[in-house]
Amino acid sequence: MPGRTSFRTFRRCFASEVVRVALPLLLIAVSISSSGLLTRVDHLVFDLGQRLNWRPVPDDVLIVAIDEDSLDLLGRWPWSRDRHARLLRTLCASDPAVVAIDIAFSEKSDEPFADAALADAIAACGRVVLPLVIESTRVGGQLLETPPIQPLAAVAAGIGRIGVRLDEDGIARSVDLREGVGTAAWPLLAEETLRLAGRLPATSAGKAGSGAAGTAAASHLLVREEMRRFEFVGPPGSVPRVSYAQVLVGNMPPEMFAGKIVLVGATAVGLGDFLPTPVSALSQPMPGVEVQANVLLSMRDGRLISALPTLSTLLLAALLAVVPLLWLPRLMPLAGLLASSLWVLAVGTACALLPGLLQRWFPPAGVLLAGLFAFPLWSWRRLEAARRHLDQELRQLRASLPQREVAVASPAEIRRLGFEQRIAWVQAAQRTMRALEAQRNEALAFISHDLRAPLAGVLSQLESGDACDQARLLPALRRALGMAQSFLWLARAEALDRKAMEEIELTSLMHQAVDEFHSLARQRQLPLVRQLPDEPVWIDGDFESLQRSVANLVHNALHHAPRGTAVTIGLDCAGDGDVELWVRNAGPALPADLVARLFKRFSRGERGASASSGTGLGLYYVRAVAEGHGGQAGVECSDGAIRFWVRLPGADRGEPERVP
Amino acid sequence: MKIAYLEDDTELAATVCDWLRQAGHEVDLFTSGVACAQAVVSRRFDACLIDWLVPDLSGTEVLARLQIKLRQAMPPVIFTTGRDSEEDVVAVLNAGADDYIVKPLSRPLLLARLQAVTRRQQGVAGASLVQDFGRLTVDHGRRQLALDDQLIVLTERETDLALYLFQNIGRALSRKRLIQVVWSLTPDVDTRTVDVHVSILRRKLGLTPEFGWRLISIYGHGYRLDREKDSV
Repeated sequence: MPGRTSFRTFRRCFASEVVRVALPLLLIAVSISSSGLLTRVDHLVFDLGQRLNWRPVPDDVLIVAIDEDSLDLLGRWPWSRDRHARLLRTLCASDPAVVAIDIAFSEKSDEPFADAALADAIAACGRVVLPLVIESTRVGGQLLETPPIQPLAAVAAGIGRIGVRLDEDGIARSVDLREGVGTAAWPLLAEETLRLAGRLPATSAGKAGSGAAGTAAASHLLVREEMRRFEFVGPPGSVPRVSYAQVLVGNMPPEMFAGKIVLVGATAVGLGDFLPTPVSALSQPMPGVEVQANVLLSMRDGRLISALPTLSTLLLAALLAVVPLLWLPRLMPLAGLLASSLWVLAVGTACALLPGLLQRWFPPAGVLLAGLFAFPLWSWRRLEAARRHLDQELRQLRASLPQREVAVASPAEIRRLGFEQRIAWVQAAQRTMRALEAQRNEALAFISHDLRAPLAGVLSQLESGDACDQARLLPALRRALGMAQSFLWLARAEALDRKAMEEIELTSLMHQAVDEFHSLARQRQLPLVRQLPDEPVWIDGDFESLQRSVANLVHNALHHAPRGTAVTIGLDCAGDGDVELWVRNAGPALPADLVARLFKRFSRGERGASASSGTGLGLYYVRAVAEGHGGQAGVECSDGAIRFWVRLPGADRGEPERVP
Repeated sequence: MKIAYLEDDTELAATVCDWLRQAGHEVDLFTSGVACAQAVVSRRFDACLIDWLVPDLSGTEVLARLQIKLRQAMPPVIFTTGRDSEEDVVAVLNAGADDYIVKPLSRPLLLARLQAVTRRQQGVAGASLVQDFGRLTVDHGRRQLALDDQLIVLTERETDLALYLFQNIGRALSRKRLIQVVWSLTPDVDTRTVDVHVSILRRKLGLTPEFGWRLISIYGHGYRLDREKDSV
């Protein structure tokens, strides 16, 4: 069942094509995902998702901002800790849930009484969380945990880290739930605050203890655990703020802070505590205290985003990378392009929305790149297949055409051709087709006229019923047979294949052709003179057609030579290995227009018009055979002689060894 | 002479049978290749005339059967073929046929070929040790050739080749066969060597129609020495 077999073959080829495209796609997706080469693309998608995902402004979190107004009113920074103590007392009087202070008190101030006042205020409030900073020393880069000074730390309800992770592009997107030098011991300020306020979700609280179990092996190294991305409720300024100075002078209604989480920190540009975030343009970075507020909000709402584990990420990337192959083989190019573009968009959008919806993060750069490459790769394979098919067709076309001057090319040969050359080949094939068409028409015309005429003549004579004369019928019949025969020979000559030619000996071939005309020559009293070399001459050729060519030339000469003159047959070997065989007879020079027509198909000038001579195919046959051998045929007239010649390329082999 | 004739064209077969009977031969006509092969194997024939294309077995298949069954005792075989292209003729000769005739058949040619192939069957050496062709005399006993009573100087191989050609006038001799017979003691003879020697003989012995001879190259695969009919 050839149909089913070819279908199976097709399926197999097709499957291998899919695999061939799938492998590079997998490679792209996995390598990009694992190497992090395109992390910036990942960030871009993530940031886009953040901007699409605004949440309502929280009403239970408030920032007491050390802003420009406060600096104007209260003088330049740093302020006396006495002032902070007063603020705390004011705040705590209105019963907030927790007060978290984003101001590092890591060194004693110049006023010991102020430090004591602040410690008193913190102790009195009982709900104050103080920050801890992990920083590297100026010299040597050794990491140090710097908690608040001892009197303050002792009375604080909690101490939490205010560190935020900055990504490669310097933007804050994530925090580490646990971090510390030697062991990841310190929770975040946000976590401590929430714990104190009793608003920490159960899931995060459960994990909180686990961090302490970190190894103490590398005691001087920074240990970070449980990295999470956090969400932003909005652009900078989204979290409600009140001015420090206004609170201090008591301009705020006391119930404003009741039951709320209050964060105290700097928002004035001059104080420099700013971080670039996904939601802030470069001109408007977010104050550190608001970043802390955002972390706190994400944690409170259970919206901290965890990245997929590495293995899952790679598997998912690999899986998604080959998804385009589900539709590419089935769609036409335009639809495939559209589908692939849509796929890339969809993956990008899905990955951007994923953190907001499921609190999961999958870096999509590898999949996106693979998605972008899927269409070109598949199109490339498709073009390759098309090219192979066309090459094959081209080869078959050339093989089926009788273009003897150009041998049928091998697939490798075609592969080396340029695009224009291939087009030229096709055009050449088309030309040959047209030439064949013309030849066919000529042949039809020839058969319908020349071949029919003598036969019809004989038939009408026979049908007339009279006793007919055999001698009158025979020449017409012979002529018709001769024409049919020469037509057949010609068809064979036009299909000569140089590759199939064998070595033949030319002098005996010519002797033999001349021998055939011995009696005719004697009858016409035209001596046949042979100027043939004594030594054999070998060429690669087709014996039959060459012999017939020589016979045609001799026949021609015998018909046109004036009575009593000699017809000379010769064979010359040129220096370059070519051989020239020729037939010469006496006669007037031929007119130029006749010479031009002589070697054409079915040409029958005045020269061929005489009764019995030919079909008009004789000289065309000679030319066809010569060209089939890679040679030429021609005629020249000089000194009252007409000389027809055929030039053939010689055999490339040397002389044989003489054998005794 | 008893001839087995294989031909499926009945009209042509009738004509050819008439010619052969008039020439004094006995003819058994077969229209099937199988029947012909069986008959030739079981009965004795002096020569076979086989058509290339018959319905059941091709002529070459008949030939192959005969060769397997009869081996050395095989009668000479002449093929008649409507296809005169070189490869057909060469294929026939390579398959082991003694000669071929291209259709349309001509009576004198057919009879001459039959005579030529059967002559060897009867033995040449016994017939005559000296052949006299007018100007040319061939003495097989002394291994000498003379033109116009002048001895022609030939090398050993040239003499061998000439004597073999004159023993087989009218028969097709492939180059392979010539090499086997004439150069039997010389290994690895180039087919060109045959051409060289034939070319020399043509010149030295004047084997041209002017002298009553035709030395024919059969599509470059072999040679045939013929008498020119109208010269004598």
